[in-house]
Amino acid sequence: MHQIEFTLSGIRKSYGPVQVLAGLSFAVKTNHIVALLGPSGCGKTTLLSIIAGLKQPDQGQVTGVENKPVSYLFQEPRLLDWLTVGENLAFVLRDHIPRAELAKRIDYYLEQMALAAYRDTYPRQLSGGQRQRVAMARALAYPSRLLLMDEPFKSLDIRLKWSLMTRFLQLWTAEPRTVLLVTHDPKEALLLADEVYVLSPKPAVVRSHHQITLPRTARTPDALPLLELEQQITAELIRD
Amino acid sequence: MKASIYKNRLLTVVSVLTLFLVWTLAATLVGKEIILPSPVVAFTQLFRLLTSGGFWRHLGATLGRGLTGFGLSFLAGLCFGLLAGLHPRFKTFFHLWLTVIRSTPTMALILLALIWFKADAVTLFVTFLVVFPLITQNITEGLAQIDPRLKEMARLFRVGFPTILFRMYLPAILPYLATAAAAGLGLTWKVMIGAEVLAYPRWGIGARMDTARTYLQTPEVFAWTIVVIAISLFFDRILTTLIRKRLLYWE
Repeated sequence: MHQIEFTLSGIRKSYGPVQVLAGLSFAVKTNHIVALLGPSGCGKTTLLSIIAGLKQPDQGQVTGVENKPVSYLFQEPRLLDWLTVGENLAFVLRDHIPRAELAKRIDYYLEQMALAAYRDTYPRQLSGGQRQRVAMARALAYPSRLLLMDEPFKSLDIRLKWSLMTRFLQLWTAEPRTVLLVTHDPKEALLLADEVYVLSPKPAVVRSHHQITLPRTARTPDALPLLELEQQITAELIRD
Repeated sequence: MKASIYKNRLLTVVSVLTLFLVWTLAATLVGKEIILPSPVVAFTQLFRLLTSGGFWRHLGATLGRGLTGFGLSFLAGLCFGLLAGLHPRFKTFFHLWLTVIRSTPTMALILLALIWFKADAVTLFVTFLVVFPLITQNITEGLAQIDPRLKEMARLFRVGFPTILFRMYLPAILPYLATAAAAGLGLTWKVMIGAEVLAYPRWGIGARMDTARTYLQTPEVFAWTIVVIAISLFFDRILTTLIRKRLLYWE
């Protein structure tokens, strides 16, 4: 039913004598949210860098992302302090969007992230949660089919995390795109993703794969089927 | 807060008064105007200079030369600094050149320039060689301070080079640029006067100072020195205000 957006086949990567990725293979379907769950330091960020083309794998290949624009949401907001919120969005957009549409697009995504009032504010004047929302507005406003997210909710408290995830899902439902989410938090993965890949500690291989069929509207933190799956995944994550 | 500002101002006034007092005492002890004129004599001479015909022309010539030399050094330093900061190979290649220029005594530069060029060109050439490496180094350093994660972000979002240059690199190095400008301009006046003393252009404060020295008119040497200090302080104040008001607006 779904097309394949991109495929990883046999990705291996070592840093000196330390093997980080030991042959990862999986396919990501178009307009799916796929979560990669793994313990800290298992090479998830390295994998994202390989998909984004920042790093080369020692072996294996990524097919389907060649020369396509890729949007990115990082652990930290990575905003330019000397540009306003609106200008920060314009910074990544102006070379990819016709000039006439720029302001409209920026206003639209800022409004979607409840940031319309902060368009002319400098990042230093915002709270940590607001800054990450700006980063999310930037990632979503960027015209790309593929969005890579590297633990974007990691440094937020539970309420902020929940509100940001809800907002993200609303926007994603309105304009679906393919998302690869890297996280170490099973709950986050289960609330957002269509599929979850559990990775082993370094050197990382795929330990298990789970389809989450429960509709997103029914996914509350206390939904029973999710709690069962969370237990199962947690057990896999802490296994040696 | 207000009390502390008042105290600071008071302290400044006391400091200035003490300086003049020490100067006056020393002049009285020496007792020879030709060695050390008193502040009154020096400032009287300054007033005489201000009302004399050639003053503004000499001042204008030195200012013009200084600002031209500084402007050229700044522009060249900016281009060179950007190239060196963005291309490590370029930096490695020219590192030795810049180190040699910086290590060369200013006097040696002036003497060589005197052999090679005419008076006006000497002052420009020397100022350029002294100020340009300073600007280059500051800009290269500023670029090195930019968070590599921001550079990576720009690369991942495929931001074009002009956008990166004008919206990321230049604003990020603005504080370094300002520091470089302040230090460079301060150095410009020192070097410029030195070069004018030796190159002896028709118009210029340095040349006047040397003439006054030749005729043992020490009060005039002092008067011109006060003028140079005033120039230096004036530009320093302008730049400091600019830096404080405009450069860190996002903080």
